[in-house]
Amino acid sequence: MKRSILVAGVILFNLFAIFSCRPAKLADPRTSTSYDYEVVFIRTGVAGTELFKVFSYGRNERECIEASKLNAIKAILFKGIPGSGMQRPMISENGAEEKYRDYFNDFFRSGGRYLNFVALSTDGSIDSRDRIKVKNGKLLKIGIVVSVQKDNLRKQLEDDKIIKSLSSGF
Amino acid sequence: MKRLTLLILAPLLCFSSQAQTVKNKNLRNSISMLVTKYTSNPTSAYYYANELTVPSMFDDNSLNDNTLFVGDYSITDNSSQIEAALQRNKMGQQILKTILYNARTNQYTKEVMFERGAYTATDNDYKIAMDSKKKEYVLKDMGVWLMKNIYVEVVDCKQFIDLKAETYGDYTNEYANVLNSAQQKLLTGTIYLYKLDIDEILEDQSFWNLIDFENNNNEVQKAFDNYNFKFKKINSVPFNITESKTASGALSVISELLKVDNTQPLKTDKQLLTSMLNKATEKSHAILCSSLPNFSIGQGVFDVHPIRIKVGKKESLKANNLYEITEIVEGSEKEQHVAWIRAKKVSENRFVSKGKSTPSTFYKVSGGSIKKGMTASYVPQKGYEVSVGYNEGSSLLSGTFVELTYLGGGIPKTRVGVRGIFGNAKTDVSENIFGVRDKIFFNVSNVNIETFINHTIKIGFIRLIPKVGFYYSMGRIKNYDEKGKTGLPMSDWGVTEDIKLKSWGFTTGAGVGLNLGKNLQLTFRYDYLSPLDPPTSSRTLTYFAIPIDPIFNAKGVYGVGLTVLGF
Repeated sequence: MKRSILVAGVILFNLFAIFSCRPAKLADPRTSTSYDYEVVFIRTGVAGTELFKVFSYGRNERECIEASKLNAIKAILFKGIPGSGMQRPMISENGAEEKYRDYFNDFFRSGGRYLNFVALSTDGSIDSRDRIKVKNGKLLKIGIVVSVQKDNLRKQLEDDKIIKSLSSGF
Repeated sequence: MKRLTLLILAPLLCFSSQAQTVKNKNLRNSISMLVTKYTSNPTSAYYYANELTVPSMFDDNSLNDNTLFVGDYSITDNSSQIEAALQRNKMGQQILKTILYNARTNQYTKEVMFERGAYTATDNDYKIAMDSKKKEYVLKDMGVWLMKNIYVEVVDCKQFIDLKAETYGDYTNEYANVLNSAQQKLLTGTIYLYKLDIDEILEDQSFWNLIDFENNNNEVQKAFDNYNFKFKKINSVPFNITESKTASGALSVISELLKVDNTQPLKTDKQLLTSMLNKATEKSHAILCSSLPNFSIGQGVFDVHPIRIKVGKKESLKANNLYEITEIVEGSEKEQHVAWIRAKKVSENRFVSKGKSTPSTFYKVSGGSIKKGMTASYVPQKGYEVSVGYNEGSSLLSGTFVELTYLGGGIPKTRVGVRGIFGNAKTDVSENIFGVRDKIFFNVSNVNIETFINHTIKIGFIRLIPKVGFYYSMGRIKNYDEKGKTGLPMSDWGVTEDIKLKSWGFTTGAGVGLNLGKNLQLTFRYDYLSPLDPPTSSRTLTYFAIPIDPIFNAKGVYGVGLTVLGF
């Protein structure tokens, strides 16, 4: 009897240890349609670019930084960024994300074309005030400044017939 | 006895004139250092006002002439006169002109604000500025921030006198005469810290009209010259600096004691005052600047293998400076401690930022896993350390010890210290008389004082600490032990009075330190004694008819101690 209790105790302890050590559940930013990020306009950049600070979640610094690049593009396309020249989303069509699901899955895939329009505007360092441990220390929230080539991005989407050209109405 | 006291104090004398540089904040505000001049001057220090060195943590706003003419000297308080003199002498204009002067165009221009901003900018700031449409104007904003932090340090000297025997109250005694031979000088006074108060005119933008020199407008120049720039007193601190007229005061004292010719050349007043003024300002900075805003680096850990952070000489970083690594945790008001690190390799970053400065390298002292982007904050440490421990060995230096050391300003990582040892030594004399069967020990209660100089060498996480010192010991044989018995009275030996022992000489030794945390170090030590006067008793004891000399002259002493670092 004692032995059974001991074995059950060990099993329970192991299960607890396994589940408590599992990484926090995190939606894949590539496919997620939720806006689990924050974008702040910093400055108007050179030659059709805009500078934003994007706060993204991840299990480590690298994940957060990669997510920030992607989230910056997503924010411009689908959400709009207050205070910037992109207050309204670039794609104003309702349900465009669903309608062009295959296009965006390819556009936002790992190493996808979205990377042609976004770059880090830092020397690779993270401002210590923009690194926050969240959810009982299992996730990180990191803010990083990125530069988005909004004019080139718009042109690409126009060429790919995702959005209409600004001059098309005339 | 007096000679011995002086010899014991000699290492302390060597370091007493060394200024301790405590730079407790990462400030990069600008500063001008002025020395007061009066109608009838109490000292000639103002002659050497231009010899003052602005610490590297400040932007140097030195003027062509750093003397400040105040007026009549008051023996009680000159602070209000100094404040009035700053305005009367148009110091605001003079300082702003040093900032706004563009050597390339030989004109006063606002463009230099860009350079100041770029100097202040971190690599990230610079890259963001360059990616922006406004480019340099972003950096200009940072330069404006610096304009709000312009400071003036005014050194007001009161006395510059010879420290003579009379100062010590008795010119006939030997100690006083020896001190005379050291020929020390004393400089006293007060240092005042003022801030150029232009916050209001920066807020309402009128400042820019006031310095709009680019159009060569005489009216602007006139308005600028006539403007009454005010100064706000931030802090003040008195100073009291002594310095030997010779290259080494301690050497003078020792030469006098040993009756050796000491032909060291005397320092000139210029050398003395220049050095003493700089020491006074260096010593006062930590107190004066304690109320100034922190210069926030705002950058975290840049890299973790090895640990690298983008701070360097521009932020007054020095090798072995202690930093705390913390991180922001959601829902917690206070940042969470992660680890302690110390600077290993300090980078040169005292140039205008171009976005590619070299980070400094650090090593971990203790704590958890350090990640990229965590906060690194400088933790000021003062020069004192205290140790307690125990020495084991058949010598007068055995027993419990308390040790106080002080980090001198001269030789890096070198400390001067004093140690008191109180305890019980034991000497085995059994073999002298009875062989191994009947062991007899003499017990001594002893007290020692030791002064020393040690130096810390880092080898990974271990610290090797060699030292040299001088000790003076006194002991008293209190009882004796036979095998299996303790504390038998000395009267058994026919002794009716205390038997006193004394010894003095040199110690050489080394310690191995292991850091247990931010401020705690465990040290294992070995001291080797070289007595100049070995500890023999004043009389020979006899057991029956056998003569016995209790000698406490074991050469090696092992010790273990716990040190509280830098408080």
